[in-house]
Amino acid sequence: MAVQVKRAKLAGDGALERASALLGRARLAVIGGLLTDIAGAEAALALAEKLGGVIDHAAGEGLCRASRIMRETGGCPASMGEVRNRADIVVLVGDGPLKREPGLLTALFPKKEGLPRPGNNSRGLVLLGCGEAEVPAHIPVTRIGLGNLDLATLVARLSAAVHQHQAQVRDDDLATTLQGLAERLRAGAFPVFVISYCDLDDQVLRTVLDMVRHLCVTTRAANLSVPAPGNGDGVNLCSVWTCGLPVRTSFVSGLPEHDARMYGARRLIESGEADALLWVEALPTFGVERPQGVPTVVLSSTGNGATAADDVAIEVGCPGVDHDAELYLWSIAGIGMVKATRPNGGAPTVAEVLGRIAERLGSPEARA
Amino acid sequence: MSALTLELARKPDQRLDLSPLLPRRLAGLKPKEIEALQIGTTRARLVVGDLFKLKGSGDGGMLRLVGTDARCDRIGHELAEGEIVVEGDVGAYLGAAMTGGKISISGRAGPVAGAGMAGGTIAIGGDSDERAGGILVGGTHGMRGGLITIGGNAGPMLGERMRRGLIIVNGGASDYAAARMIAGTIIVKGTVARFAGYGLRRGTLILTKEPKDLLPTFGDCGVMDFNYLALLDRQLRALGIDAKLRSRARRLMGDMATLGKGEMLILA
Repeated sequence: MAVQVKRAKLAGDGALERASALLGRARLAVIGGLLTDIAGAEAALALAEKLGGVIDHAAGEGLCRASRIMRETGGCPASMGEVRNRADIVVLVGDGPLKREPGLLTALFPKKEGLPRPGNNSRGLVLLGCGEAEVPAHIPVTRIGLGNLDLATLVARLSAAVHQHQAQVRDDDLATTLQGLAERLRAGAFPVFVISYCDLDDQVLRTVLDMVRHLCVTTRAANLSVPAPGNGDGVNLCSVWTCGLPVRTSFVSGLPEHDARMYGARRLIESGEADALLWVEALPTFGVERPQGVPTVVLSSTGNGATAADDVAIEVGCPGVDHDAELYLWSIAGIGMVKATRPNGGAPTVAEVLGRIAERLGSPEARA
Repeated sequence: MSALTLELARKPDQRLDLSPLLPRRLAGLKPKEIEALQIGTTRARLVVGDLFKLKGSGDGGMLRLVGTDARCDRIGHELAEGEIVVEGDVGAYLGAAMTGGKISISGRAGPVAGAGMAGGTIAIGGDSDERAGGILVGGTHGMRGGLITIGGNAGPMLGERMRRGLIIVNGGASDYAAARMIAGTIIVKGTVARFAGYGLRRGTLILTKEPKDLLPTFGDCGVMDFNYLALLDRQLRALGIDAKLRSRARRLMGDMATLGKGEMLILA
């Protein structure tokens, strides 16, 4: 029989014992979702180590793509405040940045003049393959649509123009437009490309970063990446400072081992390699669905709970809403404290619940 | 040559790390010691003897793995000498970081076969999954030497960031073949999908069929004769590979989106 535990009924109803028993007897347990605050992520990592399990985030694919690219070829990242105050040309690549951060344009282009900027160029926005995005009237914008191209080819053509390499001209108008943009970028004092690691192909991202490196030979250039949803960057940073590796890390051998390909939560569940799932969705899920098919413990702030007979669902508070929380804040490019907007003492935090499950793992009940 | 044979007796319920099964390492071990080698990847302890039946001896430097499937990872990982013959499919990291020796498999290979390899030969009878000859976790470059032959089709990002060596694909290749390649040679005898040579810096991508979608960031240099294609063909024949390379080819330089010193040769 599935167990549903509502707020303020955590103690004494056996749900924690059932959850720890379910996870404790697993051959390979996966802690997925991880839509939680820093304290929740720390507790999840400690629990994964104790379980000999695997941790992953709902945006793990994009987070691991970012980690892999930074590890293999590096980048020239800038902070949000730096771009808002000092960048002269801002290029949005693809639909991802505006999809993830709908208020991005007003944040990057405030009506009020910012700090003194390098160079004399007027500020401008370029939408590269962004579809029909709405742009506030005060922002000078250049739109370069995909036309009959795909984003990978459009970015490659711009990169060839930036490198001043000859490319096969198949569309005179587009060639002229890209040539003009490349000249603006080379003449810019601080051009910045805004990207979303969760939405762009690995190879397209690398071409964008290669353009930035090339521009940095003669001017200052940078990339600004929009954050992964669900406090993904916060959880990933927490994983890195705790065990030295990003999410999609296994603790099976006792030592952390990272593999973006093999330790994805969904792949592990769907392939049948994992036999238990602890799914944490204390923050909004941004449309990600929980993998199905194995006994699951669900920690949810929205009442999404057990779906199978042997599932256990425990309701938790929403970080930054029901309780104060440390979350990744894009505006400061770091971890900040967010005060609760409607404090509710009745709901336990993710960290509290995971800590209490971990305490019970060694008990005879959990081993049964 | 006698061969130590390990036959998979039942389908594993977890992925297997078969990196301890190297011919040289097994040659000095008794059967009981081989059966006690750990190969599990979960909390459930798993040793060779739980899944494999052993036959023969490994003194001849050859190991046969029979009946393997897609959960058998890291076969021939860091192989330096000897030969591994696999009758079946294999999982991820086949021959990764190997520096010498030979691996042949009859079935299909999982992701990143030959990742970061520096020498030796891998012969895959069937298809290979994504990033064959690519980058190992934690590495910065793909294959650095050696030979990979793929009997079937290659998955996406074949030879990603490859630095040296040769890959021959008998079938087609999926998206981003030779992506960001630094040097070395890739031959694809079937059709290639989108973005072939994307980010190619140097190195040679040899195609027998013109891609449906050629990247516009490759510059057409026209059709010309290349003596080295005949030399390469002769060298491959000596290895028992009939690549049927003709010396006349259309040459495209690229990828102009990056360094632009690579070439795509489409056989005429």
